[in-house]
Parts: sequence; structure tokens; C-alpha cells
Amino acid sequence: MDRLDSEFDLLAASAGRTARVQRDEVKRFLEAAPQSSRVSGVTHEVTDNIAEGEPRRGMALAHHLHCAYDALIAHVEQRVEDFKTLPDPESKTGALTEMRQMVVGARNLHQSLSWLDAAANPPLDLGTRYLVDQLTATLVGSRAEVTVVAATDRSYATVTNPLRPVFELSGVPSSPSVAIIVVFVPRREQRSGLLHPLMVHELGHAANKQHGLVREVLGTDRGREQLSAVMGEATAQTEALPQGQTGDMTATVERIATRLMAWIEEALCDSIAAHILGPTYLYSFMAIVGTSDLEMVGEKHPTTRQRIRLLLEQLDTLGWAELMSAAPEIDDWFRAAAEEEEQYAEADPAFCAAALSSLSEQIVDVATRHVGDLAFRSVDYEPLEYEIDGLLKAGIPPSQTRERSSVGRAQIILGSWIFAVAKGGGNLDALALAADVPELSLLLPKALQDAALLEAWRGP
Amino acid sequence: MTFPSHERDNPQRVSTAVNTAGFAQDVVMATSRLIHEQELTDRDHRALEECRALLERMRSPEIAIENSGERQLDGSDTVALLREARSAHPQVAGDLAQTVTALDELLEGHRDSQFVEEIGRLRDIFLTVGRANLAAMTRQAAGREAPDLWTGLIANSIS
Repeated sequence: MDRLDSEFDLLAASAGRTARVQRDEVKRFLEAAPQSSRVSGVTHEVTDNIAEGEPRRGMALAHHLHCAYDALIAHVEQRVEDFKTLPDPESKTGALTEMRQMVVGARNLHQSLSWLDAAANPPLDLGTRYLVDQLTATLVGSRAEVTVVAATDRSYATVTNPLRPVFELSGVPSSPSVAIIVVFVPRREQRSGLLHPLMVHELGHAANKQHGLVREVLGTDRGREQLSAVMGEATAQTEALPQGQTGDMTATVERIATRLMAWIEEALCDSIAAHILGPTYLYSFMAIVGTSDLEMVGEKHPTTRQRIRLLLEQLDTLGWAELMSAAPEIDDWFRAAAEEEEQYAEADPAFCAAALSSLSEQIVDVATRHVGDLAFRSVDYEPLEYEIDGLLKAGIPPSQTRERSSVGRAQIILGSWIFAVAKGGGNLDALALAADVPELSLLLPKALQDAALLEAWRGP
Repeated sequence: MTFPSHERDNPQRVSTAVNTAGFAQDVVMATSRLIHEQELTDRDHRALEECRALLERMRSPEIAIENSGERQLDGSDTVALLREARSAHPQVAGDLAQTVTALDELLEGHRDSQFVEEIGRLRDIFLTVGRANLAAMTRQAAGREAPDLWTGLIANSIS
């Protein structure tokens, strides 16, 4: 046996062993679950076999991880067999490189085990969990499972069917009907109820993955026009290169289109969140994202300034302008930020910003259709405005109206935001400090929880 | 609302990288068998079909709108690594159209030394893709010495 062979054996043993011990951890989670949801003779189709109505918190995620580790182990075993038939040193060198990647990959997948810890001990209050579950079912699908993780290493973020590419190593298709969603919330903000609306934007990403919403935007007449414009832009950029330089036209098209699609997705998720939550989303957004560089251009994100502009246009259309003007200092700041024109130093972002603006109507249309009955308009809030405020001032969770029906969750969160801003004097710094208003730390989660229970008990 | 700077530790990114690693080696194995006139397995045929589709995609200016139901391989990661590998090794990159032709001809059984050489170059590119993917997974710029595998884990546990 030569050195390549023995080194390959070592790496294969290590990759297989790492995947196995991590799979064992997942098994322990599954074994602690109710009998009906346990895995017996795990198959790759198992996530499809979870019946409606069974306790599912973390179960679908655990099955997903289990299947991924199964696929990884099977792949390593297959490669051990393949190695025996490799015809030359080049292919053996490739096998060695691949197996190193399997070792690194298996070890780095370790982080996903912490998601199961979060599923077992959810970081959010019960009221917010009910809300997130309800929105997930509506936006993504009834067979979607969301796990919220309080993370120290990232901001608000989301992943959907995160380990599916590993399934595909063994040519095993993942279940398309079950969506596994993990939403990350910064650890420090896990009790900041007024910032939790940012999670609705994250659920928008999961909705797009499941329902192809960006594709819907690009399938409109205006969307197709913009795709053609991408080709034109790429041609212009390639032709404008200094003499002697040759550009890869297809790479340029792909680069611009990738950025444009990512920006549309962000605007779409903003639009979904604003439809469901009204100005609440803008307040949460500005409290976190609005304090960063408003002109920062991202590969995946348009400038914050452009996002504010799009959000304000939409909120004004939904009739929220008057309510928002009740906090003039804050409202003026939003509008001043939106009015300024961004300056782009590079051609790609300048093109994508213009394309995004021209698609704003189509983005809002797709979001409106997708949100459906969840849409929250000023007319839904106005009749309850004073009642919610009065209850909060009296230290009572605003979960029930005088007519004894449940208060909508969007109304509760907006009323809480308005209460917090007023308590902070209506100044800009009130936006940053609103999440820490002490009364709301108890009243908001309690109101969300009670309203959900009332709604389930009596109907909305 | 982004993955600020830790994307490489994000399990979703990791699993995509693992998938890319598997695909690159699938192509290396399949092209090796093709070069040595060995019988191709079903998996080899699939790998070559997918490889051909990727090469065609790199030639076509058509915009691929990602679909969540499509294979991750259709994503841009593998294409980006391929482009990087080709631009880093222009001497072996060859012409995409010629590579596709060579692939088709060899699969049809038309054995010609020029086609075999072309497929040898394709294999070299995929070997480079594997190395670049490994470097990306271990946070090292391609071409630099690969670190001890534990280094990344220790760094993660400290940060």
C-alpha cells in the first residue's frame, strides 16, 4: 500500500467517524422525542412521513440533519470502494483532496447540532413563538418547521433546507414538501420583543425559497424587460473595457443578474414584512439596520437608503403616513434619509439600484398576493389605537378588545412600539431604546401569547 | 440581515461546499475512466452530463434564475470556482466549445488523441476546483499551504 492509499484510508475513516458521532447526537435528540415521532430504520423519506398534527418542534430539523449525515456516511463508504478502482495517480490525488474536504465539511457541520439545542430550549417567549409559527405556516407552508436560534456569531439571518446539498451527494432527493427553516436572532436581542419583527423579513426568504417569489417578479413584463437590460448592461461593460482587455461576457451577465436577484429578494422580504406588520417593521428595521452606513452597497443587499425609500412608498400607499407623522422627529428622519440620492462608484450597483426602483410595483404586487389575508392596514389599527394604548398605560396586556375578541398580533406590536416611542419622548434615540422599555418586557410577550390563545379558542 | 463574516462556518455554505467537492471528484473519476478507456458507471455518465451542462451554462449568456427545486449544483458556486480555476490556469483552460466537443466525441467512442488531451485538461481544471474549494473551506487563499485541519476549529472555538 503506498502513501496515497494509506492517507486516503485515514481521511475516509476520520470523515466517516465525524459524521457518525454527529449523527449519534441527532439520534439522541430524536430518541428523547415522543414515541410517534421517533425514527426507526431512518430512511431519506422520513421527513415526508411526519403526520400532520404530531409534535414537531425540532423533529423535522432533526430528521433533516440525520438524513444529511446518513448521506455523508454513505458517500464516504462509496468513495472507499471507488478508490480501489481509480486508474491513475491524478484521480487518486483528486480523491485525497475530496476526502480532506469531507473531513473539514463534516467537522464544520458540527455547528448545526446547536440548532437542536435551540429547538429543545427555544430562546423566544411563547407569544412570539406562536406568532412565528403562524406566519411560517401561512408564508411558507403548513409543513414548514421553523427553529429560532439565538446566535452569537451572526445578525438576523435565515437558512432553508440547509443541508440539502449533502443529500445530493448520494443522489438522494430531499423532500420538497417539508421546509426546514432556521432563523437566527442575535443572542443579545432574544428578549427584545420590539425587534422580533425583523424575523418576519427572514421568513420572507424562506417563502421565496419555497414559492419562487423572485421568479414571479422577473416573470412579469417589467421583470423580463429588466432581465434584457442586464444583457445590455453586460454588453456595454464588456465593450467599455480598455483596449487589450477581454471580458467574459457570460460571467458579467451572471454577476449582474445574481446581484439584481439578491436585491429583489431583499426588497421583497422587506415588502412582505411591511405588509404584515405595517410601520412596526420600519421601526425595527431602522433601530438596527438604519444605524449602519445608509449608503453601503452589498452583494446581497441594496443600500439601506433605497430600502427605506421603498418601504416608505409602500407604507404610505397602505395608508400609514398619518399615523407615522405622529412622531415627527422620527418620521422626518426616515423621509430625509429616503430623499437623498445615493451615489454609486461602480456600474453594477448603479444599474441594479435603477432596476430595483423600476420593479418596485411588481415587488409589492407579488408580496401583496403572497401575504393575502395577513395584510395589515391603517384602517385595521385605527379603531383599536386608543384602547391598546390605554391598556398598556394601565399595565394590562392588550390581548382582548372591549368586545372580547382577540387583538391582532400586528396591532399589539404596533401599539407597543408607539407606546415605547412616546415613553422615550418621541425623539430619535427613543427608536434605539424602545426595545428596552421595562413595562413591555412582560406586557408584550404576554399580550401576544394571550391573543394567540384567545384566537385559537374563539376564532379571530 | 445577512451572514456578516462567518459564511464559511454557516452549515448551509458548508454543505454546498461538500456537494461541490463531491461533484468535482465525480468529474475527475469519470474523466479518468474516459481517458483510460475504462467502462463508465451510471454515476460517471451523470457526472459528465452535469459537467457538460455547466460548461454550456458558462458559454451561454442566458440568465439562470435559481429555482429552489433545482439541484444545488446549478447554483453559482461551482461555476464561480470553475471560472476561477480556468482563469488561474489559462494554459490548461482550453476553449469551452472544444471541451464540450471533445467530451461528446469521446462519449460517442471517437477516440482521438486531441480529444483525450482536451479531457485531460478538463480533469486538471476540476482537480484545481477541488483544491480551491478545500482552500475556501479552510479559510486559506488558493495556492497557499493548507493549514492543519484543526487550526480552523481551534480558531472558531476562540472567536
